[in-house]
Amino acid sequence: MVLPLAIAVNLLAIGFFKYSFFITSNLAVVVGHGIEENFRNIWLPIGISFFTFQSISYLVDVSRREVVPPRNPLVFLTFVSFFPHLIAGPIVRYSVVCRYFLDPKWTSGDVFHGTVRFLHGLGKKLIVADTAGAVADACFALQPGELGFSAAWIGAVAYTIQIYFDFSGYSDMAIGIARMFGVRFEENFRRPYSAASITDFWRRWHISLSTFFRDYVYIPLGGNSGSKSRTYLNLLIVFFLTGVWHGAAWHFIAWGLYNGLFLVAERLWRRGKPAAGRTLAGAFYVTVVVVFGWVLFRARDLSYAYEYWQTMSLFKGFSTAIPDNVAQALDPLTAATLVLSLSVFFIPGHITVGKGLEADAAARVDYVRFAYAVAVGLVASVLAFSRPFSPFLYFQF
Amino acid sequence: MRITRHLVLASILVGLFYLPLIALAAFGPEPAYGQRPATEFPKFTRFLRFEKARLQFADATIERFPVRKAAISARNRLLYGAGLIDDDRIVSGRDGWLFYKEQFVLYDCGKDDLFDDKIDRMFLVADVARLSSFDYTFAIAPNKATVLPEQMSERTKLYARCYSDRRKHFEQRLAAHGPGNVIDHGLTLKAVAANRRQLFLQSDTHWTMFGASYALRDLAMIGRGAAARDAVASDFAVSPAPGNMVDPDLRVRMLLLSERERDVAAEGVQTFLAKHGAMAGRTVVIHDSFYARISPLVEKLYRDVSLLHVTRDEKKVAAAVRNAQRVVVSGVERSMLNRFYNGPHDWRSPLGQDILTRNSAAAGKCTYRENLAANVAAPVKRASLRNVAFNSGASYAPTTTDPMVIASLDAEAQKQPSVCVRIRLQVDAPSTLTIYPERSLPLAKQALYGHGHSIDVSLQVGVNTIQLIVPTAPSAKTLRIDPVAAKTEFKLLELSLGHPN
Repeated sequence: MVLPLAIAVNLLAIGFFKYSFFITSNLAVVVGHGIEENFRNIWLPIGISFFTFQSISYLVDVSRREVVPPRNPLVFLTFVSFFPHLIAGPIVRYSVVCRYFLDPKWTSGDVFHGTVRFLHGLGKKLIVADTAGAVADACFALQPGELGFSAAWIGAVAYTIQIYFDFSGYSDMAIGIARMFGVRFEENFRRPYSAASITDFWRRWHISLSTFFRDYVYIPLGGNSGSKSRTYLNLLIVFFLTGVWHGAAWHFIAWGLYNGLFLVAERLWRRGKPAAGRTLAGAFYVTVVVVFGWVLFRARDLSYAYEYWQTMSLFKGFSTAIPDNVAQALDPLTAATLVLSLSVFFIPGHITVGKGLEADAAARVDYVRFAYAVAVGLVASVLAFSRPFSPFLYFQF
Repeated sequence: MRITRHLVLASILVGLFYLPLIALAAFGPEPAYGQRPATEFPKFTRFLRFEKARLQFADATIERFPVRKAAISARNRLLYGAGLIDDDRIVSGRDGWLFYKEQFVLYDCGKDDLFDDKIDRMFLVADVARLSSFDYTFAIAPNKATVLPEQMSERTKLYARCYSDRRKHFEQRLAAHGPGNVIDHGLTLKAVAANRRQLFLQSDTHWTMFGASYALRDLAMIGRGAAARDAVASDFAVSPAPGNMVDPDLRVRMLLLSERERDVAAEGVQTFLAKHGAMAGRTVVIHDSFYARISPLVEKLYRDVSLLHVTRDEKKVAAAVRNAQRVVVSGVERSMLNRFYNGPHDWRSPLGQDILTRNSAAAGKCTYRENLAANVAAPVKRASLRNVAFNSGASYAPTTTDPMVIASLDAEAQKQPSVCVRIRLQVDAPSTLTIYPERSLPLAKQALYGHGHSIDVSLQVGVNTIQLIVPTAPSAKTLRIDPVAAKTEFKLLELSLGHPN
């Protein structure tokens, strides 16, 4: 009885702060306008989605006796308020990190490797994500009538690059800062754009969220132990919630369900056979589905996403020249950065840089890492200080 | 060993993190740089309430770090070397040439109405001044892109898609207006046969001294007969020579790079000025930075001259203009859109007021024919009222905020290049009367009347007498007069048209 109540308290809090306006504004369509106004200007506490989910995971893990509650409440409070990941993830589970808080250990290696990892993430954010973001913003600022086929694809691909480098960059930074304190977070990304399928993509993208929903929603709902139709329903519920978690808007929900439908379709296609490795056709399929998915995610609303999709898929405005604002955003350096960053689609999925930067290694490897960190840090600093302030995309979640 | 290595390397990296803060502590916050005002910190209440204010706070904070200035400089050094500068104000052209983006705004695609409206006002002010027998000249200093389009890169052209078409349109309008008191130095510089790259500084918005010397030649020709003009032209034997080192505004002040640039001097200009300078008459030159570069030479062109920057205090401008026999207003092409439209070309500006006063004095000598005020309410008339209800006597009440009288020009007036208008109007509250001569725009698709092509006169409480000589287009058949600017009752006591003697 205590567990549902405690979970409800957490969900009510996030429901009030994050979803009350969305719910009441949709209700207002039915019962008449006005009620939503009371919820319009509610301030969203920073990182509410992350610390709420962490608290829920703690409650469930304790109730399942998978972890022992700490005697010292400060340990729990430190866990919940541990700042590196609070704003944009990853979602950290108590069972994974409790040992670092209960028995803190800290070495000079932690600081060095953590700093290198942090700068690696900073570089991803400032050198690639923000650069791609300028192009994506220019494309998504266009009205559907102004979008041509080329601009639509450029915008969609640029956003695909931006969101990955932005979010995974933040995760690298969070992992790096935590490491500086001697705390090791689990990886949140594992080269998602090199996935063999959408199912595989979700094992590599925002891993902490996927595993949260797997362990606390999908499996409690029955997972894949029931009938096929029940499994598919469970998957759709999980992805509906994934969409809702990202934001109180229909296009996020649609994006969640869109991904869920592809997971169901892949299960139907495979008919229980084990998943094959990555093939050229599979890579093409994943890329197209993911890029279209991010359009849904980035669009201002569903109708815009629909028109954007039409332009991309029906060759609308095929001969339309790239609009000036997009051409202006695509300066040679930006274009070069975008083209280079497309390598994340082609490099084999097992090659990961972030985690590799942290492994113990010989002195010369450390010096190479040091040189890399200094170079990335300098370039990132020049970019950070010479551009207007640009927040992380995932701050809003 | 490994611990020491990690400690040393980590210390260096962590030190790098704190470098911006150390620099801030050591050198203090950086004052405004890059020729733009520093972003102000938002009020705390706004900071709490609005995301925009929080971003403003972030920008204001970052800007004050000395490291930011160094970062901008470092970034621009790399980009300038590669010819890839493209920020919110500057874009790289060919061979190290830099272009200020603001010059492209005037000739932006899809702003025809706005563009023609500003040009209308420029010509109308000149025409109203000319009809007052006032020696007034508006001299346009060219954009770099006008004189040196060949130095624009493909990237630059992205921002100037309509530049050449719109510039051509402007030149057509200028030609249609006829030679007179609007002169475009751009036409002169475009016609220079020598290496035109010597006319402008490579990394500055301005012309070189050599380029500017052609403006002196243009000014020296104003008001002279054909023979004298030929003499001025033939005596203008100026040649380029290495000049002083200058801090180019685009490269040094905006991009924060350090290299100075050598100006191109005008050898022989002093000889030219000795022969054709010191023109008689009290002269006022209202100018911007283009004439400011050559202000000592402009001072030699006139015997008694005051040079006033366009942003100068209005009272000083008013006092100087009042006593002037000759006024030259000069501005760079890109400023036609706003700075002059809202400055000297605004009828409420000291210059605008002075031109109207001189014009009104000239209009006092006109011969006026019939008073149309008596029959404006009649069904068939030479003047008709719109958006106005007739009360009684000469009293009218506007039915909308846009009351107007359309006065028809008789056949004789239609043949004249101007018409004299005298209006006596009584109002109970201060307002503005606006006269709209018909536009003469064979190239444009606008309405017959436009805000740019209008004259505003302030009305005081009581009876106001307004008399002006208004230019009329060759095909003009009407004159629109908006007696008041709002739904204010008024009495139209007289509306007379006439012709100058």
